[in-house]
Amino acid sequence: MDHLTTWENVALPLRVMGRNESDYADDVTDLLHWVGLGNRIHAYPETLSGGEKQRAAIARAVIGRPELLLADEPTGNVDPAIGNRLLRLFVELNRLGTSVIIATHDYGLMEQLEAPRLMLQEGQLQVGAPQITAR
Amino acid sequence: MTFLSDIKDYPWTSLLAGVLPARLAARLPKRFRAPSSQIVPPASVAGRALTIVIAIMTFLACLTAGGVYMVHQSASAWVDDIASEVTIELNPLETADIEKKMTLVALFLAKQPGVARVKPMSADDSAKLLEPWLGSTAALSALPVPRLIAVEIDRSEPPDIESIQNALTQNFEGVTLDDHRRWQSEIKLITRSTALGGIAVLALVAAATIAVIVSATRSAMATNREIIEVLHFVGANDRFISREFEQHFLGLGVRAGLVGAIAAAVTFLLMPFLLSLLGGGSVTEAETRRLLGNGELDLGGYFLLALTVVVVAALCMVTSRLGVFRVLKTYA
Repeated sequence: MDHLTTWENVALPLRVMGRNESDYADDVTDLLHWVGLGNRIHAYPETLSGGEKQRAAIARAVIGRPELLLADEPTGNVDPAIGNRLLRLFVELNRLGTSVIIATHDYGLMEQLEAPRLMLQEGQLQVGAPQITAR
Repeated sequence: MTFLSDIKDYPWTSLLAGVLPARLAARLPKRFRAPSSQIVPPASVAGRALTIVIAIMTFLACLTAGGVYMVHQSASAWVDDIASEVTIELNPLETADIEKKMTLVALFLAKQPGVARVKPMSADDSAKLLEPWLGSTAALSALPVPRLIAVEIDRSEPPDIESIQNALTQNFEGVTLDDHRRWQSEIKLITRSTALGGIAVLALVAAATIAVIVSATRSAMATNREIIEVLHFVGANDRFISREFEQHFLGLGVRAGLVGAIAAAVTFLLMPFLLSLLGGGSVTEAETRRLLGNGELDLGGYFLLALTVVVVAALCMVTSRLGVFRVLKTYA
């Protein structure tokens, strides 16, 4: 939402849940630092770059510890370091009980994880390791 | 039970922040401030035009409620007044020595049980009663103006008016008793019609207010459609969304209501002056005063004005809540 700061936007799901602001204030700040938005806490969305917006959206999606997280190209607009951090965030969430489904074109990303894979190739869905065929 | 938990969970402490203009709200102690920026921007809900409309509605409602209350108060005071008195009328045409007859009748009345006080009125008094209608003229003394005796009744043990009346007609000629019953019923009728008229006006004002708020709620929701979508996306239920909107409408109702009620209070304070300004002749003034008393609102009346503000604010809030629910249903 354009009239709320990054912090307020990320805290929105918790506010909607009716949680007390004093209970979650530190969690939100910590998460923003983790996704590399520590210096953008009080910034408004229109001043954020595409990558920053994406990270804020991810933070907002995970702050409420959802049961299922669908991430479509979560590392598409971010540099590799931040990408790795986001990946670790997803792993942590998964450890805490969230099912995470990531859609990506980044094979490197997949290689970093010991996770079940579904490959969509020429309209066919395959389970298991990617079959990269040279043309 | 949801209503009770609604009341319990309502962010009452931040309510003050919603009611005050943003500049003042920022200066409140932290406890009373809204926890974060408001999710729905206030400016997108309650514009100046809407505030003015609600203020005018409240002003009209207050004027009506106060006016009806005033009529009711002065009428019941009047009824009270005339119920404790009966008037004896002596026809001067059938009597040679009217003064002597006055004394005799007064003495007779004083002896009756249940009579607290007997007050014979002089010819001058009678003339004064006619003055607003006939003017102050020497010709009055030449006219056979009926003479009056005011009899105050002991209200703890009221007399049998009928037996007094019979005794009077038996003992004296040309003497009639008026127990003001006709007046009382007429005053009651007037009060009742005024009250009915007032209720009709209040109902119209309420209907207009509801219509305005419904349309304002719709346009506020259309303006903030994206916000509603994000809220749905992060898991907000309809109750949460409606609360975000209704707190603005509650604030609007309180702010505009106060403005309208204060304007009405000032009008009532100036009423005695306005009455004499509009009163015209002494007859009109006498009639107006009879209907409205001296035109001053007592404490109960001002309480009624405060109550009107509460009702207007509640009306704004409840209407907007129902409006939000209704619109959300169409989104689904």
